[in-house]
This record gives sequence, structure tokens and C-alpha cells, in this order.
Amino acid sequence: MMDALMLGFKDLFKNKRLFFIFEACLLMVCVIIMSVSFALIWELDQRSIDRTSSEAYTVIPTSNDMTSNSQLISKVNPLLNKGGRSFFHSEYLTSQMGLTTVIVIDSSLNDLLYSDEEMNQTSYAKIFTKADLDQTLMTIDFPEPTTFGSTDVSRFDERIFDSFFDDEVIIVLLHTNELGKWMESTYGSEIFDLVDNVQFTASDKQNGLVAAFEAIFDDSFLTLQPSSYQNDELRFILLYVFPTIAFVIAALLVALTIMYISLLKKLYREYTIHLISGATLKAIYARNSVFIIILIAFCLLGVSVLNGFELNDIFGIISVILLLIFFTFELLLYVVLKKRNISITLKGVD
Amino acid sequence: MRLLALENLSKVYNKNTRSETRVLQNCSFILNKGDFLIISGESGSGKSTFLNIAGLLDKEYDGEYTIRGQAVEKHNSNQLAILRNEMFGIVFQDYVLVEDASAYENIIIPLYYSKKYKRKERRNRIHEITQTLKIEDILNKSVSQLSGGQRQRVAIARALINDPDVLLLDEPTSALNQDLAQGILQFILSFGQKHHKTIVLVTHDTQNIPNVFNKHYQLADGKMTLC
Ligand SMILES: Nc1ncnc2c1ncn2[C@@H]1O[C@H](COP(=O)(O)OP(=O)(O)OP(=O)(O)O)[C@@H](O)[C@H]1O
Ligand SMILES: [Mg+2]
Repeated sequence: MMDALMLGFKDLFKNKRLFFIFEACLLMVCVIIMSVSFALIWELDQRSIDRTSSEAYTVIPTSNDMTSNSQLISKVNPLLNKGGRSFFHSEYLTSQMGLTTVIVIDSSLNDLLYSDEEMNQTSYAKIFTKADLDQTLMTIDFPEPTTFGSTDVSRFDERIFDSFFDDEVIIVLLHTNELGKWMESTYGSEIFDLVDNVQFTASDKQNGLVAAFEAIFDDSFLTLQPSSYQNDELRFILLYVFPTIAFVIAALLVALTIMYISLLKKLYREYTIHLISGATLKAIYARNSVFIIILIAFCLLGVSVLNGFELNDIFGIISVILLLIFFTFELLLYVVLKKRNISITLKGVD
Repeated sequence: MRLLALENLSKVYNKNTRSETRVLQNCSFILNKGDFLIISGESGSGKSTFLNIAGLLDKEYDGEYTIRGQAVEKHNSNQLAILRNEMFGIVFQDYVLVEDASAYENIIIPLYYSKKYKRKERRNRIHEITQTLKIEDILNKSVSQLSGGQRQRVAIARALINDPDVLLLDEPTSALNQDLAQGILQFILSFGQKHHKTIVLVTHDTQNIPNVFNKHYQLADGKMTLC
């Protein structure tokens, strides 16, 4: 077996130019698949977010003039009490409490605000935490009558927890006509956040809320761009980019296979001479596999480098594809070795 | 002692196609240990075809082939590989060398699969054989750069290297001039006698057969007859 491997390395060395061409082809296939996978996985991620709502926006600031900020807030405020949902990170409260604080407006959660019977007249905000933080919170001045201390956060928008890494997030659920009190009106970042995170459902759209919301920003320093264009991008990828790339990959794989077969033909005469001299098919198999295994190993190494040595989906996809190529090549070798008659192959080759 | 026996051997190339060629028909052949045997016949009579079958290189034939009393068809591919390695040393009509390798790399091939010679003994064995064939100083040359006579001796060295029981020689001297051919033949025959080998020599030259040969098969019209 040692000899077979040694001979395999010799074959590799003798055919090093072909080896590099093989490697380049294979890497090209992998890189194409990798970049397409990156794009596709990203797009699918985007789409899975969009699926929760019918309307979402990307916000683009178009001017530095933020004088209209408080005006915007006062218009957005009543609208969001009627429908839609959003949240923003409050700089002020975060610095006051020393814990990440998110302010949430979610019309579908208004029932949570009124479930405390004694407070139902005055409670306009309620604080939710994953941890029990009542004591600390009591000491802070809130702009409005506030109830403390529920730890059930299951009904909140999942994006809130996705966007902050800390385990302990304080969530202030707000039902108020005084959103301005909770927002820094001098800087645009909170309204920016609020609009960026806004989502409307299909029924909100039917009720005209979406149109009203968009109208608010017609003449402001923020421009709204509906995020649904991402779906078009996905469609474009699936419809045009994918077939093209599939074609390119198929062509490269066919080229690889043809090259491999011609390499086998070249090596086969020598293999035959070894078979005549008493080599087993197993020995020839082991010998030829050296070439394939080194080829695949180098390719995997290259992919790992490009992928930052991460064991993610893309690495998985590439591994499966390389494994398939490996088995195809081994199968081709098997067919060639089994089918050919030793004596016939000696003739005419030289 | 009977080494090989072939009975009712028939060989057809490209069966059931337009280029179907019947080469051997119901041939019988027996080889005993120590035989020096000659197979003669016209060009195209099927001598090489027969040698391929006898040397276990071609398994597409009709008939019964037994080696040391055991049917060849009952052997699996590993057992056949061992037989090829231990039993037969073949010198082909056109030598069949690995062209982009050195003489040394060609001669060593059977030793890779040998159970007789261990890894450590390879170098000595090659030295031993190449010395008697006088090709020691060309071992590192690529065989594509060797003369016909040198290639010939490399092929013979490869056939002898694993000390096989039977030497199958397919017109080993046809490509050489008369003197060289005689020299090589003499060498093989004396080597065979000294080491108690069994030899099958294929030739179309029936004029000067050395008298060490004890058996002579003639191939004509697909029939094999003992003269
Ligand atoms: N691989 C093959 N496919 C088809 N026909 C073949 C093949 N090999 C040999 N033949 C045919 O079989 C016949 C015998 O060929 P073979 O090589 O055995 O002859 P030979 O006796 O060795 O001749 P020579 O003395 O010229 O070497 C020839 O007619 C040849 O055309
Ligand atoms: Mg011949």
C-alpha cells in the first residue's frame, strides 16, 4: 500500500501542470458556488423578515435639517397608536439605567397596558424585563405614569431581541400621545430608528394607515424606500443569475470530467503494465485516489481560507459538492478499470 | 509436473460484430514444469493472442484453463494478480515499457507487488539481474532514450526480476539484428536452464530452433498442433 501511495505522488508530480489546471477549475466552481450561496442566503434572510409584514421601509436621510423632527414625531405618534408596530433604542434611558433600553410601540399589544385593573386609567407605559429589575427602575423619573415588572416578553416583535446582544433588555411598551416626551427631538437618530423598524400588516394597509404614514414623510429630511424591492432582487437571482451560473458550473464540471478521463487514459497504459506485473485493482485504486484526494483537499483548504475557516452553511454546501465530485471521479476510475481488457489496451497505445 | 493446461480453447475478437475475427479454435495445450517449448506460426496466426490468454491478461475466451490443477475461472481477481506476479514473466513483442520512466523504474514494477522479495531486498535484486544483463549503467536513463537492444534487455530484466516460474517470450528478438538476437536467446536459455525455469518461446522462425527445446506447437488456421 505504501508503494501505491508513493506511486500516486509520483503520478501527481509528473502531471503537475494538469493538476494545477484541475485545481484552478475546481476552485473556480467553488468560488462561484460560494458567492451565489452568500447572495442567496442573504436574500432568503431578508425575505424571511419581510414575510411577517406586508410593508416595511428602508430609511434614507436626505438632509441635515432636523427642525421638522418634533413635528414628524407628533404626526407619527397617533398613527402608530392605531396600527403598525415599531421600536427604537432610547439613548437617554439607556444611559440613565445602565442597561439597554428599547421603547416599543405596538398597537396589537395595547391590551397588555390595560390588564392591570387599578392602574387602567393612568398607565400609559409598562416596563418589561427579562430579569427582575423593579428596584432599580423605581428610582428613575419616568415622563409618564408607568407600571413595572412584567417578565413575560413572548408577544413582542422578535426583531427587538435579535437586534441587541445583551441578555438583559428593558422594554418600555408605550401607549401614549406624548411620544415626544420619550424621544430626543434634537437628533434624528431615534426617529430614524423608529421609521426603520416600522412594520404594517396587510389590514393596516387596507385601513389607509400605510398611505397616511408615507404621506407624513413626503416633505421631510427622511425618504422612505419600500423594502419589498428585495423580493424583486431575489426573483432576478432565481430567474436569470441562477440558470447562468448553473450553466457555467455544469460546463466547468464537464470540462473537469473530460480532462480527468484524458488523464486516466494517459495513465492507463502504465496502470496496465502494473496490472500485468501483479498489481491488484485495489493498489491501482489507491494510487489514483492520491491525485483526487490531494486535489479535493487543496480545494477545501482554499475554500476554508476564503471562508475564514468557519463551519457554516456555505462550507457545508461546498463540502457536499466536493464529496460528489470525489465519488464521481472514483466511479469513473472504477468503470475504466473494470471494463477494459488488459491485453487489448496494450495495443495501439504508444 | 503439469503447470498449465488449456483445453478446447477458442478465441473470437469482436464477437457478433462485422469485424468478428476467429483466431483460435478448439486448441489444446499442455505445459509441464521444466519444459522448453516453442510456439511457431505465420504472422497473424494468433500467437500473441494465445500468449495473452496463457499469461492471464485476456479472460475473454472459451475453454478450460487450469493452472497447477486449479480452474482459472474459480480464481478471484486478487488471486489472479498474485499468479501474474509470481508465476509469469512476460516479454512482449514490442516490449511494453513505461516510456516516461527510467529503466530502473520499469524493472522494479513487479517487485512492488512481490511477496518473494522484501522492500529492503529490491535494490540488491535489481543489481543482481541487471548485472547479468549488462544494463547496470543505463538504469537511470529514460527508456525512451534507449536503443532497441537496451529496451529489449530492460523488458527481459522486468520479466525475470520477481523470479517467475514460467517465462512467456513473444518473439523477443524479432526487432534485433541476427547477432544480437542470437546472443539474447542464448542468454535466456542458459539462464532458464541454470535456474530451472519453464520457457514458452513464440517465434515465426522455425529454421534454427536450438535443440534445448523439447516441445514444438504449431499454430495454423486457428488450430494448434504438436509437432
Ligand atoms: N485486439 C484485437 N482486436 C481485434 N482483432 C485482433 C486483436 N488482436 C489481434 N487481432 C487479430 O487476431 C489475429 C491474430 O493476431 P495475433 O497478434 O495473435 O497474431 P500473431 O500470431 O501474434 O502475429 P505476429 O507474428 O505478426 O505477431 C490477427 O488477425 C489480428 O488481426
Ligand atoms: Mg504477435
